[in-house]
Formats: sequence, C-alpha cells, structure tokens
Amino acid sequence: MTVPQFLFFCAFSVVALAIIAFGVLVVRTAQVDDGGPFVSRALLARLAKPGSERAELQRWAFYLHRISGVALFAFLCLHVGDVSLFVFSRELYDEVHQVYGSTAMRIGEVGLLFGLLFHAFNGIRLVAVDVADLGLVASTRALYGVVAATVLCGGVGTVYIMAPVIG
Amino acid sequence: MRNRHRKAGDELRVSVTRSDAAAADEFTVPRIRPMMVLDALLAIQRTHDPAIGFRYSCRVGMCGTCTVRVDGRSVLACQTEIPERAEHIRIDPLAGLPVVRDLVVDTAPFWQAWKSITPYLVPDEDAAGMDATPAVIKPDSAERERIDPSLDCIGCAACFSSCGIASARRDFIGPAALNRAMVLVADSRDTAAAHRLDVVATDSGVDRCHYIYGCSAACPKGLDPAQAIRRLRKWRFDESR
Amino acid sequence: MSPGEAWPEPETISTDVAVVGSGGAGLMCVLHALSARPDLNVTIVSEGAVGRSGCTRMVQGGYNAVLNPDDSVDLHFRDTLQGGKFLNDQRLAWTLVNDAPRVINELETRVGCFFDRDEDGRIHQKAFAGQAFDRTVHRGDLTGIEIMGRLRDQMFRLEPVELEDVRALDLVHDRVGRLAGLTAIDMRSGRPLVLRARVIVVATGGSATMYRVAAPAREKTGDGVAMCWRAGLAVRDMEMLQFHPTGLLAGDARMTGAVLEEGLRGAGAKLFNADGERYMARYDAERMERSTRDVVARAGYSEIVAGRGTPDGGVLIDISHLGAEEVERRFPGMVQRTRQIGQDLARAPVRVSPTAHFHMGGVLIDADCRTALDGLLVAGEDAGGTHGANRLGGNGVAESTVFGARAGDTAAAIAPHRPLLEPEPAEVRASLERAYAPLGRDAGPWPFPLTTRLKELMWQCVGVVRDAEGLAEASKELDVLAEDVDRIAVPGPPEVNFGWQEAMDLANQVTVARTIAHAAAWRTETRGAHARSDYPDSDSRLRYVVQRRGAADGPVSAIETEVRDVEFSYRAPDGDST
Repeated sequence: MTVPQFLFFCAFSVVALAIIAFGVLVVRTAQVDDGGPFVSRALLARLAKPGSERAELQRWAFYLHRISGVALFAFLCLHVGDVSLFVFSRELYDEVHQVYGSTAMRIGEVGLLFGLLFHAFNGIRLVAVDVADLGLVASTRALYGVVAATVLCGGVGTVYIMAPVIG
Repeated sequence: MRNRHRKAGDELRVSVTRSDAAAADEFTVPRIRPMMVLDALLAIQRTHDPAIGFRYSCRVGMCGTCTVRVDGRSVLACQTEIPERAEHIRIDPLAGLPVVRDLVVDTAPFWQAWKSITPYLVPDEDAAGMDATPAVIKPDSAERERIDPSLDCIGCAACFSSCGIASARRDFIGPAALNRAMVLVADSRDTAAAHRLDVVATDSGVDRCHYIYGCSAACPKGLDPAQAIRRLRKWRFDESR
Repeated sequence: MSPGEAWPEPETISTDVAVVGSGGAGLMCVLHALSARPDLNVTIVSEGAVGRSGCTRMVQGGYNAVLNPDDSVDLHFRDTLQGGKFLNDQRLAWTLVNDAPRVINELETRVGCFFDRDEDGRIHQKAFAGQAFDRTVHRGDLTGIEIMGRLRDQMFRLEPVELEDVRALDLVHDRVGRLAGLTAIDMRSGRPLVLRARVIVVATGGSATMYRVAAPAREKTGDGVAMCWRAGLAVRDMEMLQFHPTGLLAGDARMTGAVLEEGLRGAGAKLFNADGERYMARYDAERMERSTRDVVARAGYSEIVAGRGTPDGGVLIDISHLGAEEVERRFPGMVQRTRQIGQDLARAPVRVSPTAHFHMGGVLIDADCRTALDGLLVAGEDAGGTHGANRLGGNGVAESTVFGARAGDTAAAIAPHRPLLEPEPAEVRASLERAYAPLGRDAGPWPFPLTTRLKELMWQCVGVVRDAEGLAEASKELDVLAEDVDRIAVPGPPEVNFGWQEAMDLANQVTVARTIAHAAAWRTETRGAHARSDYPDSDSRLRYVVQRRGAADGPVSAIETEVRDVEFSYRAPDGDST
C-alpha cells in the first residue's frame, strides 16, 4: 500500500467511525427523548405480534434513516475529495482508486449500498405517507416493502460488488 | 433469572428507575390476577418502600396522570395489564420530560406546547355565555365525523414521550397539542382557526413530524394524532377546508 | 430532623381568592371568578395535577339538565327530592335544577364542550335511573373527560396562579378568629406554604375512598370536609354515603370498585344473582333496575349477604341482550373497562358489587356557597344538603359545576370587600407540626395497613346496611385508629413522598369517618343511602343532624350535635317519599 492509498484508507476509516459515532448518539439521545422501547425480549415479543404493535418498527426505520443519511453524506464528502484528485494528477487518482477494489473497501461499499437503498426507498415511503396519508397500519406495511426491496436490490448488488474478490 | 426456582407466576420482579442511585431499584411483588402495572407499583409502595415516587389518581384511564414507560413503552400504569407469563418488568419515567423524582415527571413542557396552540374554544362573543343556546350541529356532519374520533384526549403525554421528536429539549409542539389544534380548527363554533394554522406552520409545528407513528401507536385512548398532523399539513395550504 | 426545626420557614403567598381543589367545582369557580373580575388574583391549590385529579374527570354517564321544552325544572326538582327522600336542603336543590341548564349552555358555548347530539343536531339526553324524563346530557360514556378537559383549557385563557401538587392542610384565622388563609405543603419540594387569601373556596370532593370497595379517585379523602371540621364549621347528613350499585370486581387490583355507569341500567341492563334470578323484582317490581341507586345497591348487597352472590362477592349485570355491536357503540368506555379485567360487557354478564361512591353529607352552605365563617365558601361534594339522602345519577357533576360557578360569582363579589389578614403564627405552627410529624418520627406504623384497616372497618360496620351494634363497634375502633394514625412514621425524604401524603390523607379520612359513624348511629331509621337493619322503616318526621367539632383537643375530639327539622320551603313530601 502506498502512502496516498494509506491516507485515503485512513480517511475512509474516519468516515466509518464518524458514522458509527453518530449512530451511537442517535440511540443515546433516543433513550432520553424518544421513549422508544429498549432492545429487550419484551420488544421482540411485541414485534412478533401482528397488527399495530409492529408500528414500533417505524421508530427504528427513523433511526436507520437518520444514520444512513449521515453515512451517505459523510461518504459523499470523502468521495468528492477522492474524485477531485483527478485535478491534481491522473496517476494519484488511479492509485487512490485502486483502494476501492480491496476486499475491505468492498465490504464497506456493500454497507453503503444498503444504506443508500434503504434511505432511498424509505424516503419514497415517507413521501407516500405524507401525500396519500397512509396511516399507521399501511405505513408499517409499506415499511415491510422498503425492507424487502432493500434486501433484494442490496443482495443483487452485493453479488456484483463482491464477485471480483470472491469468485 | 434469579427466581427461576420459584413456581412461575407467583411473583413478579419489577425494576424501577430511581432518581436516588442509592435507593433500591429492584423489587419482588406477589402476583395477583388481574394485575395492572399500577398494582405492582402500589405493592412496592405498600410492602417495600413507602417513599417510592409515582403518580396516579383515577386508576380507570381517565385522569392521565399515571403514565410511565413499561419495558420502554409509554403507557398508563393503571390500564396496562402485566402479561400472564411475565416474570420481570422494567418501569421508567416518561421520556422527553424532566424527572421530578423516581417516576414522577414535570409535565410543564407538555402543557407549554399545549398552551401554544390556543387550546381553548374562541367563540363568537355574542353567542357565548350562560344564556346562549348551544349550536345545532348534526352528529353525522363532516365536521363532527372529523372531530369526534379525536376528542377524549386525557393529556397523559404518552404520545409526547413516545414521539421521536417531541421533548423538553426540543421545541416541537408535539402530537397531543397538534391534535387539539386540529380539533379546534375543524370546529365551526371556533373563530381562531387562522391563528392556530399560523402557529402550526412555524418551525416548531407540523413540519417537524417525522412519520414515526409513535403517538398513534401509544395513545391509550385510541386517538390518531398522526392523522391530525397530516390534516393540519393539508389545511395549512387549503383555505377552503 | 430535630424537633423544633422539623420544617423550613414557610413561604408566604398572598392572593385574592384561593380555590382548594381543581375538579369541576374548583375550575368552574375560577372561570366565574375571573370572568366576573378579571383583575382578581386567583390561586388554585391542587393536591394532584390541575384539572386532572378528583372525580368530575371520572364522570361517565352525564349531566342532568332540563333542556327539552317537554321537560320542566319542576319535574327535575321533584325527581331530585324524591331521589333524596325529601331530606334535601330544598334551597340548594332548587338552585341546582334551575342553574343546571344555564351551566350546560355555558359549558357548550363558552367552555367549548361538545355533548352528544340527536339526529336533528340538538343536544341528546339519555335515560338515567330514578328520573321521570330523559334529561342526562353526555359525551359518549366518558363525559367527564370532555368537561374537565375543556375547563382545563380555559385555565390557559384565564391564567390563574396554579399551585400544582400543593396540598392544603388547614384553614387559619387571624388573631381575632377571622379567616386569614390556609397552610399547605408543596409536595414536590416538601416545603410548607402559607397562603393568605381574602376568600377561600373549598372544593376538594368527598371521602368515599374510605371503603374497601370504592369508586373515587385517590385524592378524594375528605380533605375539604376535615379542614372545615377542624376550623369548627358545621356539617350535615354525614351518614348519607352513597353506594353505587354496579362497581367492578377485579380481585385485589386497584380497578376494583370502579363504576360501571348508570346509563347501562337506563338502557335496559338486567341484574341477576348467582342463581340466575332477576332479583330486582323482589325489591322494586315497578322500576326494576331503573330504580334509584340506594334501592338497587341495597338489593345487590342483600343478595350477596344472603349467599346468593357470586363466589367473589358480587352479582351480575347483563346488557349483552342488546347485541355486542350495539353495546360497543353506546358504551365503548365501559366495554373496554371490563375487558381490561378479563370480562366482556358486550358479550356476557359482568360481576359487580355495590361500591362506595359519593358523600351526600358535608358542610352547611347557603345557595351562594357561603358558610358560617365569613370569607369561606364551600362548593361541590364538600357541601351537604343538595342531594338529601340519595343522589340521582347525573346530579353530581351538575352539583359541582353549578355550585362551583356560584362560588366563583360569590367570591368575585366579596373578595374586594374583605381585607387580607395576618394568620395567627401559633395556628400555622400547630398545623405544620401535625403535618410534618409522621416524617419526624423514628418509629411507628406505616400508613398503608392502617388505611386497609379503616377501609375494612367502614365496609363491615358503616357500609351499605348498618346496625347499632356495628356502629358502636365502628365508633370505638375509629377512636383507636385515630390514636394509631397519630403515631404513624413515614420514612424517606419530604420531596414527592406519597407515603407521607397517605398519612395525611388518613388523618382526614378518620376525622370524616368518625362523623359518619356518629351520624349513622343517630339516625334510627332507614332513609335513602342510610339503611339500618335494626330500623328498617322510615320515620314520618324528617330531621337531620348537624355536627360540629367539640372542644377536646388531640386526634379524638368530641362531636357536638344539633338536630333540626327539614324545611319544606318549596315542596312537601307527597306520600312517595320512601
């Protein structure tokens, strides 16, 4: 690994840590302000029951939406940085961008892909909730759809991303 | 589980968040049937610690003062049955409100928000008073169809606690107050709708709702504040209503 | 805490009108006082959350008022007197029925309540037991939430000073015995207050919680009546404690005693004993389940005592013949309440028992809520006489709002003419000493077992049906209990200590309980809510006993009595008075 590659990898790690820190912050403040359930057997038992109990999932969708939003933004900043290296030197750009091909980065990219998909689909769901006034039950069902679409598209994407290093 | 050797269902372990770190926070109380969360708290008060702080009044879900979080969920203690098979429950004070002591919170921020939407009817002065005649409004009118399912708020703040945004540390008006605003805006006897719509259109108003539905899921009276917020969002731009 | 310094220096607050209690009577009083004189400084002293404690909040059925042109105030008056077995203070009852429609107008047009409508858009009035006309205004089967919710909202308009979680202790006088203010404790901080006021309105509600099976909210521990009693005011009809015939049975759960509303019987619910017999036929064949509360409660009690009750000591109420859907539509609150405890009103009979509900007795007042002590007004359940020997369903919330409004008008009229007086320090000290004593004691009983003892004793000996032997025993036991209450020790800090609250509640409850037992022993007849197995008949001469605190100090004071004849200022009994 060259020095620019190492520096880029470090920057990427900082972004990843920032995302994790933000996630922790969201959950911590939620405990004070949100009144959401604690992760416990009682919560799992509730989510196992069909009906309005599962509306609680939307709270977790809200957290995830925030965290994925910050993650995408933070990565975008980094990405603007690494793409702009082209201005300075084509070789430097190529050198740094080889890092994206490493296994570790590919795993990160898979995470980003899931974040992107969830954020996009859930965003569409929120627009639908607002425009069509879905209500508690339908919006929960729409969330199942969001999760399903995210998993499906994310799965396919994962195969494409990971194929070169695995297969 | 510490008490696993006991016959299941004879006793219940209750963890209570206390303000005083030195005070006991786990209690074992006898199981009765039916048993509400309030019964568990009363049992603790009666047999373990008379000074434990919690509030209640009517014990039939009408006063809205006994709201706590049971396993994280904002509920009325008096109306929440402890599940048949539960061996342990955890009780916390409401979220988003300053704790006075143990499970007693200061609801002032909730009422401050409530106050901000002008929560009282502003009638036409000529048509109000002891000698005025009550308005003739058909029960199946569009107005009542909207309002009736949204009345009966008991101000218990379960929605405020359950909302991901509303908190004493933020300035969101919150679900209960917005629901009240919707009811009054829809009420043909009221004359202050324009003012209320201005209030709900501010930064602390309807746009801060993030569609979590914590409010509608938590409301012990089965109201749907989320729907009220949706409606206000529409009415804000729609003078005809 | 060392003796002599058991409490911090009390903070002194001055106000024009102090309203003790924030239920229907208290808040209506504030509404009227501040509407009449917006310049007044009005302070609410509320033991619980303002507008969310007390019993107006818990009103289910509704509010009796004459609105229909086919109905008449005279008819409502007659129903009220017949229901009260003509023991009523007729001036108060007359005021009640006359003001009730006007207060309904005000609640609708000013306060912003919205009661259920008929199809033509006018206020719907439903049938309630013991009334010749369907005149009960309601909002579904949870009327109190609408009334109290909207009255609470009015407080945001009127902005009185709200002392929430502040418990009033005693009325205090100035050096020459004029009313000067009251002592109180801020229950959040545990610090004492002295409230100086030109006018004090006592509207704390009754004391029915002193029974094992009881309907009211936690705060209803006779605080107002006990306060007035200690201040030397006269009370009447203290033996008249109403039992509601249909209280839920939920084992040891706190829900036990919660009322299933009267409208059920109005709508045709039937009562059965465990043998499946519709027993009301033997007690009131004409009106059956729609008879007045005293009759139905006593019938249920007799069935249970005779061994024809359910194993958990109840009878059965059944309205499922209307069809589950219809019951769910008309009584959603009641259906939910029964499902909570594993029964289902919509589909099957539900076990119920008589439950202590309402205290007809209380402080003597005139129609403007004035008492014998200048500057002191009493409104709502704390006052006695309006309902006589038995209250009609739907007249309770009417009483609290009508007389609350009147008290507000009176307070606004007299406050500007009464000076702000200086409370006598010795009285303040004595009051605080009594209040802080349980916290200062190192050893002594906890309050809770004593509360249980009181509830059991009152249920057994001063309950639905009474006799001389039981009452004598109750009287003796209550004196012992009063001594025990005087030794209570409560651990913990003064801040938000509900154990300490209970100790103070208990002292007031025992004070009121003693007057109830005493008056019940005096009334050697059966009349309305007061049933004597050793005197099953009613006297032809209608009298009532006025009680006053005797000279003796300490927890067990003497009770002075004066017997008076009922005045028939508007209407004499017409033969149908029992």
